[in-house]
Amino acid sequence: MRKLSIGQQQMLMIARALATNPKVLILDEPTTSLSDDDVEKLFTVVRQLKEKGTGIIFVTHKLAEIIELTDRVTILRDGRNISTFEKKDYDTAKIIHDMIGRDLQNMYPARNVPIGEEVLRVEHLTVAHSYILNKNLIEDVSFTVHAGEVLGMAGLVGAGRSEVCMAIYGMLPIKSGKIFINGKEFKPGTTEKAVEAGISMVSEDRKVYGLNFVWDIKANIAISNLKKISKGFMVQNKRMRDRVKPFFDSLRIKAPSMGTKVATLSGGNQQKVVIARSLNTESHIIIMDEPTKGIDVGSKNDIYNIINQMAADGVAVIMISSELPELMGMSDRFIVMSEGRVAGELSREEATEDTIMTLAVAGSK
Amino acid sequence: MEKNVVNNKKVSSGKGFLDFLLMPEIGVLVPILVLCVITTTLKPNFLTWKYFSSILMGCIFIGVESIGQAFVQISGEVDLSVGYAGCLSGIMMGVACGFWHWGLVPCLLLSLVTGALVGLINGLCVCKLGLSSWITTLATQFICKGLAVTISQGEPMSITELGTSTFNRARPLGVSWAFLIFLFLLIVSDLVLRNTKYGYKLRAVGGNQNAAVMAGINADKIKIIAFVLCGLFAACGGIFDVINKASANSTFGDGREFRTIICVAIGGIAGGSGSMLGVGFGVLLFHVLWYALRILSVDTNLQLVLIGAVLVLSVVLDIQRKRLEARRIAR
Repeated sequence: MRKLSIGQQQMLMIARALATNPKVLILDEPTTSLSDDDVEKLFTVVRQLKEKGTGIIFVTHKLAEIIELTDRVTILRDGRNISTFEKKDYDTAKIIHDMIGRDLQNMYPARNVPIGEEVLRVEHLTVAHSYILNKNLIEDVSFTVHAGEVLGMAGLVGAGRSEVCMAIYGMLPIKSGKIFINGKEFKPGTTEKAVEAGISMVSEDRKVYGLNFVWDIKANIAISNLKKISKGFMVQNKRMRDRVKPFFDSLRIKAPSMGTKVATLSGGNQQKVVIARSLNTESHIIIMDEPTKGIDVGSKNDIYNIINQMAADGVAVIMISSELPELMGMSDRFIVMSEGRVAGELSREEATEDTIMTLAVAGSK
Repeated sequence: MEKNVVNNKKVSSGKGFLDFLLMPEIGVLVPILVLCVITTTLKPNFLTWKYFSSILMGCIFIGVESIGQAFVQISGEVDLSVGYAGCLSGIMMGVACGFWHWGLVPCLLLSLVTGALVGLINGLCVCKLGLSSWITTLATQFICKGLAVTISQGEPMSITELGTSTFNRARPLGVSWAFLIFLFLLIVSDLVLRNTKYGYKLRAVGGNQNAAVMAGINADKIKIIAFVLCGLFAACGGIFDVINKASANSTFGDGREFRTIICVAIGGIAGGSGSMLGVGFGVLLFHVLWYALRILSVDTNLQLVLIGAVLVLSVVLDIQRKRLEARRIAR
């Protein structure tokens, strides 16, 4: 069983559901852990079932899947039935409007921020593989990020994008190479050191690296900067509330209060809490690793606006994303990684899906 | 919309009392009261101050070591070496007094340093070498036990030179000085855990270590400090033993590690959550039960069975309480 890929396991679960010969099959976000190939296979199976007369409820937050697969769509928001469309009436804008409850002017809001001084410079960064001898996870990676700039890191999954950032953040040991922050050399070691030097990171894995699920929203945000809310050794509750309130409001975290346990929040709102925690460090370099993974369209748009606000405040942002349209919509400049190396750097004008994917696949050869 | 408002009202009116009942500390208080009532009906002299104060004063040895255990367990680890780390610290005190003729303060300091050193070794092995805390502290438990017997050559060492008998006999506020010191340590620890920067970081690491690291917390440092604190509290336990019996002996502290684990579990401590007040009540429940079984002259072996049963029961109650709390939040 363990030898099966996640995609195969998903298929097995569907097969198990089919074994009971159901009249109605409910699939709840079945594609979140599947590769594109497996999604295609799943769709084929779903279409075959449809032919045989099985009713299928397909729960998803991906617009493309609704349009490609379904015959009728019902949109639920905040526990209410908002609207229902027949296939002939499908209209992307209308569906998005009903999903998030407001008009989405444009998915990737424009940003007009002057790009400032160089904030972070990475030179010849090399990270050894953790258990394969004489193999490097990251080899000779160099790049710079400027104040107010969003640097997009493109590449296939496993190209080493997260690893570069984790090494800078002090979570992976560095074999060789230098890192400069504001022109001064920075030697990574622990995340504590990184935060003190002005770096913060939002991880791609919200479940594992995200939040302390025992705690409420307030404490989860406040924990990254206790200095600002304490006197001597003691943390002051009133100052904690005052400190967290602006983040809670400006990030539009949807919860009854700041005292709500984060375990009860939706994925999008949990992600906003994680981002608020990073903002709370007052870092001038923020690394966002897949910041919109697995969250709804409305929250995605909110997060794009937050990133723009960061850039406007002069923060240097590094954004990793596997969704090319998102990365292209948000970044000022791109580096494309392939097999642990920088395969190329592209300006906003040069970057198209073609040029990025060519570099990502072909590598530096 | 109107329905919603009515619902909210309903929840908030019952909130105060239910919140009170759902406090982890209160959950432990109920079985303590039940036990006292049952035992007093069977043996009326159980609930006299004379007997009850002896329970309180008997609490301190396991009690103070439970505080240390709680610090480590909140960080998500466990310390099996508390009993013998305390024992070794006591032996060092005996050596310093009996052979080297040191004064009281240097004796106490040596004892505390010994405990802290054991904690530091535990912490370094767990955090820097990546060993499991079960294995590490089991090993240091054996090392401490071996050292304690070797150093003392298995003989009790007298510390009468330190003149602790007046300290032992004094009864300020009806209890011993040692108990007041324990109470003070418990209250300070509760404040540290609840309100200080270190307390927040410790609970963050215990709640989700990876998230804490992402937030810029040096989890290794926090955990090593917890182990050192545990060693210090173990040493306090050792010192209490030595002063109380006016001698140091390598048999002190035997099996205490598991008793502290029981007290901490009853007190509702789990990775990232719980309070020292809860631990205090856990210690009290454990000792009330123990003394009650003794005064009711229950067979020693049956005592163990009952203590085990109470442990399971209290943990089950704690899980039920958390479920109830979660359901209220979800509502």
